[in-house]
Amino acid sequence: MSPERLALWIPLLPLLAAALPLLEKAFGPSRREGGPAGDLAALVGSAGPLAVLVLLYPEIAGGGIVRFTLGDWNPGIGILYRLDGPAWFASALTSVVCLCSGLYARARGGYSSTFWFLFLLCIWSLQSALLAADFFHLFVCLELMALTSYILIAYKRGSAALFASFDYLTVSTAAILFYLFGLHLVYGATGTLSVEECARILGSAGPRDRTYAALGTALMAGGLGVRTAFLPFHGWLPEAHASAPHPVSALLSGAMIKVSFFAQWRILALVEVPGLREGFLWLGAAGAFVGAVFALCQSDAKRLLAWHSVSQVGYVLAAFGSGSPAGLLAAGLHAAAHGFFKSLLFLTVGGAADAAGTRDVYRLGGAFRDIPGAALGFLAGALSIAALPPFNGAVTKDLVLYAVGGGPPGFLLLATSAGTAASFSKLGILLFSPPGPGPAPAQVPAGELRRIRSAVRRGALPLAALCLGTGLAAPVLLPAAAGLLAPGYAGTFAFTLPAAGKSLGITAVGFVLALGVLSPRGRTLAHRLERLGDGSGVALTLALMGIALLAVLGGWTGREALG
Amino acid sequence: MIPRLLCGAILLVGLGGLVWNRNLIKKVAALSVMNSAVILLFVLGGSETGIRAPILTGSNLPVVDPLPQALMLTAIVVGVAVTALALVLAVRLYERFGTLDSRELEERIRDEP
Repeated sequence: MSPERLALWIPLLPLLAAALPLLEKAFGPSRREGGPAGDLAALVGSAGPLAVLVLLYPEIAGGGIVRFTLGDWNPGIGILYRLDGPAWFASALTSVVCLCSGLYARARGGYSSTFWFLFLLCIWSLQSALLAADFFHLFVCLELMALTSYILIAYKRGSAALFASFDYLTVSTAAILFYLFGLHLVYGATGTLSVEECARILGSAGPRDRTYAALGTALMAGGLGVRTAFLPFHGWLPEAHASAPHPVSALLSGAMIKVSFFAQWRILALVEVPGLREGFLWLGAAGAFVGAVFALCQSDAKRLLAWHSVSQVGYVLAAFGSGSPAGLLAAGLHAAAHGFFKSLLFLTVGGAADAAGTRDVYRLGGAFRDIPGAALGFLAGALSIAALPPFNGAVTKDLVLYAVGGGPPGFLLLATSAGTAASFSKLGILLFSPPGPGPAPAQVPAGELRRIRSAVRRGALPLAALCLGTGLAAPVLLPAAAGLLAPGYAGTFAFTLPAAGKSLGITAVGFVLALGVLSPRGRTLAHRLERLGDGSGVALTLALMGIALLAVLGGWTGREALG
Repeated sequence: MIPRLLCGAILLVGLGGLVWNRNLIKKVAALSVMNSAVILLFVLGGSETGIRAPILTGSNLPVVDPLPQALMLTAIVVGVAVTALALVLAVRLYERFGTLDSRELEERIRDEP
């Protein structure tokens, strides 16, 4: 089979698999749980693309690009796909996260055929968004991704989840309209929707067209930004990721917010708008810091993790904004590392929250007592996100800091590292402390506990192994990843004693900070800050301001291109 | 230029409605208004080359650019799906709390155990 034909199966497998649970729902016996067809479909839909990617690796590794259209249409009018190094990397990451969340959900139970149908549609939209090489197809994939995620977030029909889903819907729909508006400008300036064609035409376009295209690209960056949820587009994320079912939180945090980032990467790699990169560097660093501060103040365990997603995406974005090959490599690798450890954390902390019957961190003491696997997984995740060697976070965060370099952004990121360590010290101290005084939480039935244990074993522990394994194998994996993500990068990596000492020092600072936050006075302050800036109006207003900011940055550089 | 500015005005009206309305149903309506503004803009952009139906009859009369119209068909479908889902969420919330006011909903959800 030719590589083009083979690559088509990456989006096709999840789509075809999605039909199975639907058929099962329509014709099978009615039941609360998805049946065997759903299991098979989930396995094929998430692991299938991974197998195809492995087969395609030799094509891509040497800097090759596989281009194809759906149904062999003429590239002028067909739907264009493009599998390049970053797309391969992101697609593999997405498959792994989807597979682990799927395994967790299956073992945990309580998810019907409808859920599996939506889950697979969501994987399909993620995979095809990663391969889409025309602006409009990307829009369709983004909207499909959003539609499935709204439903998946509200799947358990909790009030908070319903409202969070609505909130996310309003913000992201408003933003995607600006994406469409940007698409209109780009199409007006270049007369094409293909990203590659657009770049080629802009190469010889007049200043007026270039300005419009730059402005259009900036507006599209705003629409994508809401999905990636970096500052100031992050307002919807904490509540949505916190109130979603645990496997869905893992999928959203681990894969979905990365997919829009990699889409942004593909656009900017071809249509360069220098002002945007500069903006990403600053927004990323500021977002990392703000996210860590708010995370430190949270009293809901999953909201804490969700704020860390905002913070970690900030790291990724700042590295990407630095623009150097090292920055690109750092951005891609940190996105992947975050995908692994954040979904791991969501799954393990989610399991603990289920076992304790609450998400309140101050009442989670002893939650790990009956699920030792989750304790192990949580430790791996927390050490990864706090960047302690030999876990993967240590490697990637080091690279990010190296790529961003000194100056205010570098300093902000360093401060964020201490904040991250503090907030996970806090979570760790509370989770591993004995149950506090006060009324004992309702006993979880033994059958339920068994399900949580097996879900953690199947879904979370492989991720924990990946966090440790990719960290240990970093010296070997790094050159391969550099070949995919940043062909210009020639550096190597080795764990060094000074770097380890630095991580330990930062973690020690964080630990002291955590003790401060846990003191009575720290708790009062944290409680006061916890919900600051909540509310649907705020999320929307911030996102609109962000779009305006990016538009000004893009338009400004376009104007400079004029002179 | 004036038709484009009018499209922009419709977009802003929708945006204003989205930001300042607290009623969930009105928010959904505002989203629809915004969506329509962008669709109008695309259709307007497509009509720059001509306003005849793009049926190839061999004559060289200027025809409308069919691509934006085709895109907007898809965008309308997506918009309908999003609107329907938003209304479902709003109805679910109304059934549970008996109100559509976003601020009140937010407060009551936060106070839930």
